[in-house]
Amino acid sequence: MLHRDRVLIVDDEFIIAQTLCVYVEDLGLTVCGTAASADEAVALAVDQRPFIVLMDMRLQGDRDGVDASQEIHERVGSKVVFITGSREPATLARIEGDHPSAVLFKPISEGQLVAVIRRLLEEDPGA
Amino acid sequence: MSPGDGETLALTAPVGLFEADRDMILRQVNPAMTAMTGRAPTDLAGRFFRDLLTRSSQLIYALKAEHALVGAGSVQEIFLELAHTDGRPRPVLLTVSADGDTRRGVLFAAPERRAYELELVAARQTMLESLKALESANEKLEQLVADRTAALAQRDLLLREVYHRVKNNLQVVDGLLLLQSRKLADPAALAAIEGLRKRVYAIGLVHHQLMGSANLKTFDVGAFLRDLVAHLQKGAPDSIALRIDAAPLNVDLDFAVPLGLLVTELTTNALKHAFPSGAGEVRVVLEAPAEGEVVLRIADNGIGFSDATGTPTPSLGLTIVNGLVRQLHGRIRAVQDNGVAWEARFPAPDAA
Repeated sequence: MLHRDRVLIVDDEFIIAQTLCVYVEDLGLTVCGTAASADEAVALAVDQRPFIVLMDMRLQGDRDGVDASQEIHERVGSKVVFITGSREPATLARIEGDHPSAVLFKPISEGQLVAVIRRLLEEDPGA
Repeated sequence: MSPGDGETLALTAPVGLFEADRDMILRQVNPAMTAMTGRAPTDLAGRFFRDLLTRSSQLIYALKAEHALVGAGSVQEIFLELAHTDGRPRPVLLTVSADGDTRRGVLFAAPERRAYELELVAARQTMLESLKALESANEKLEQLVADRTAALAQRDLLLREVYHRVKNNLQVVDGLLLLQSRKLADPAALAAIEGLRKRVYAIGLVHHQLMGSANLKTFDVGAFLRDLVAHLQKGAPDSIALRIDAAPLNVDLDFAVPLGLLVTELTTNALKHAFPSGAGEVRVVLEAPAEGEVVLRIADNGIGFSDATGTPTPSLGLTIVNGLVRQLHGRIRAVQDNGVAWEARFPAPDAA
């Protein structure tokens, strides 16, 4: 069972993570944690079972956002929204192969993020 | 010599003539054959034609002539060498025709032919050497191209990385502005920060376009302006519609950043001042004729300037607009026409 009001934020840039927190809280949702590495992200996701994970591609440590997302997808089943600064075809191909619920490109605006989160909540009302 | 005196012809002809049976055993020869082989007619009669040849020509004869001579009985212009009794081979061309079981042959002396052949062999050798040299040069070139391609790929990678970092840093700047704005209550301060965030977003969007550009230098301004206007629309009331109509135009960083900021300033300005009733339309048009100037028009259907003379009120936004237009070597004017219409004209980016 996932917690519909919980969002996990994964970004190794503190300021960007904080920005995302503000957007999420403005929507009336709860930030259940912020993680800067894939391992932290997986541990928090397993513990908190958030409905949505906002996932940066570049993280601290050896594993990137796709690795973290894959493990979260298998172990928790959260909806993962990728937020990437990269437009590299190789990166995009990896993301596409990793069951993304959405992909947003930096610079992202509050409007884009809010639209995606609302859509995910509406698409899966019974979760 | 009477016409049709074949015998005289055969005796005096400067070519070797012979008659043989179907196995090419010689029956008769003319005197020229003696000159060509150093053997008397009596010595030649009864011999296999093959036995008159040098060892290497015997091989060629077996390969090129024997089969045809046994079958159809004829061959044409086979190059062979006769083994002369003086030890010096005589190059000849052999032509044979068949008459029942009789084979009639002619041998033309072909001393030049041997020289040609040697020349051909030498030419072939030279050609093979040139080919080898070419292949080696080609390999070197391919290596060079591969090295250059790798260097270029490395450069592209670094450039993408730089654009990526710049974009990321702009996102951090945007985050700092947002976090600061959350600590403020003064509406004027909040509005100022909101204005800064829009400008930062426009610059970030330019880097986003550059990262997706094939040459990492230029991109189509249309896609950029559509993204930019879509972002500005999200910050505007639903009752105000932003429209964008941009002609295809390749632009680089130096053109796109000021252009993006101009569109941001003028559109934001219209949103802020033109519609006290809260409804209306702002139209952003970019024209880029193949020849001549790029024209940017930003027109609203709002209330027009508060100043009756149609003079815009001085502001930071206006200072920025005028400065950016100058930076692009352009000029700008505003007209009151069912609202305010700004029209800026610049030299096309390539010509700037």
